[in-house]
Amino acid sequence: MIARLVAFLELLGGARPLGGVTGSRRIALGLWWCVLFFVICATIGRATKFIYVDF
Amino acid sequence: MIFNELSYFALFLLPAVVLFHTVPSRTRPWVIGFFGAAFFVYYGYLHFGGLWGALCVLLFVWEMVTSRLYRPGSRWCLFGIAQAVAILLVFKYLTFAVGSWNDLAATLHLPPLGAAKRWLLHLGVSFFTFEFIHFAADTYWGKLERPPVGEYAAFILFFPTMVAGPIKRFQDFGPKLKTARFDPALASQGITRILVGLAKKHAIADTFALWAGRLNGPQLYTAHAHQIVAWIFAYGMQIYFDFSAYSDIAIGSGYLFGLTIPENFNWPYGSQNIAEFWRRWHISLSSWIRDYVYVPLGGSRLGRSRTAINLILAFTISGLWHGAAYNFIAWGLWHGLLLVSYRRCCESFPRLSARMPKPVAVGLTFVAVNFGWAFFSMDIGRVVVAFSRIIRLA
Repeated sequence: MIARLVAFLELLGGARPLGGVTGSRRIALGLWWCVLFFVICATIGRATKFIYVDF
Repeated sequence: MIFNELSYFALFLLPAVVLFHTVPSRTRPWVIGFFGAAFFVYYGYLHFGGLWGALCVLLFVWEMVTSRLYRPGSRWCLFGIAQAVAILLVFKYLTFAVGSWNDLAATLHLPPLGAAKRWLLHLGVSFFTFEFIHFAADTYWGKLERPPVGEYAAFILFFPTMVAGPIKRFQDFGPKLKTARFDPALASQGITRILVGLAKKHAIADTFALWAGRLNGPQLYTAHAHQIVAWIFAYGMQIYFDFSAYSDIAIGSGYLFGLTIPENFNWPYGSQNIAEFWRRWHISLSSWIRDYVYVPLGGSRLGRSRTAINLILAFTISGLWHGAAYNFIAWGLWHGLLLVSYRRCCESFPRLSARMPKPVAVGLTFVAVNFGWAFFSMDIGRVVVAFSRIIRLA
């Protein structure tokens, strides 16, 4: 079960290929991008730098 | 900064990707080289020391020139390694070294060196110097054939990975550069990866930062033990989501070029022991330290004691690489000692480590790694305060 959860999260995260992109998968992917875009817009602006940038 | 700036996407990533897939394949490395140099100049000027920071792009030009002289077994390769180390020493460690000497001199009544000129740490120095060293060392060992100069320029100036990795290897990157093509499936995967990276950074890492930031605030001196522990664990989550987000954006950007970049993380907090953790956390750095520090020192070939010394040395160097300060050295030592202890435990009690339930092993590793983040997130004085309060109040 954990392996399936990991696989699903990696798919959501773009770490795994989506495979054959059918019509319904395209819609799901588009919706997922919208959700991510919304989350980014809602939380952006705290202006913290990436920790590793000036290492 | 950089990956969460609109300018990264508008001025560099999108134009570079479009041009890369438009021009003939022999010109592609130069497209990456051009945009990489422009990226370095732009952000160097903006965030890392103005004109001086921007002019440091000449280091790449110099590296491209000297790399032409590299041959298997040649002294020029050793010169290349030495100059990369010198760049690191001057830009990153000189001030720290002089300051440390002056502290020691004051204690032992020795003559001080005077104030060191504070060199500005320039963009991505820790990462691109490691790629320089890899190229020179692998050419010296005969593992690499000299590529066309454009391909090497694209390798060292590939801007998505220039600032904070993943640290690439030319053997992996060079052939992919030749065969890269626009792949809609890979590109959509790349967009997902970039969006997920940005969401991880802004929604998750920055939220954990609200708690973790208290480790460096006045609250540390009045906090309860459980609060300090919670903040340290919050920092553990912050750094994971922050750095994996950065790697996601770098890797996703690479996908848009049609290039697959090595992964940097593989669910590290699910590791069952510290050795496994280092195979799954900042993978490109761990493998670099293994190949260019640990193995040349003798690795595990010279007996138990020497292996332990090599491990501790390699991790101390890794710690120092993360920052020119005592707390990073302490962090490296912490991990070196954990790894040596783990190996000794496995040798002395093989059944125990084999029979330990997985959740217990994962939990123990998670706790050990997270307590190590205390050294990473605070200077030594604060670490002492934090641990003494935890021990006293607990």
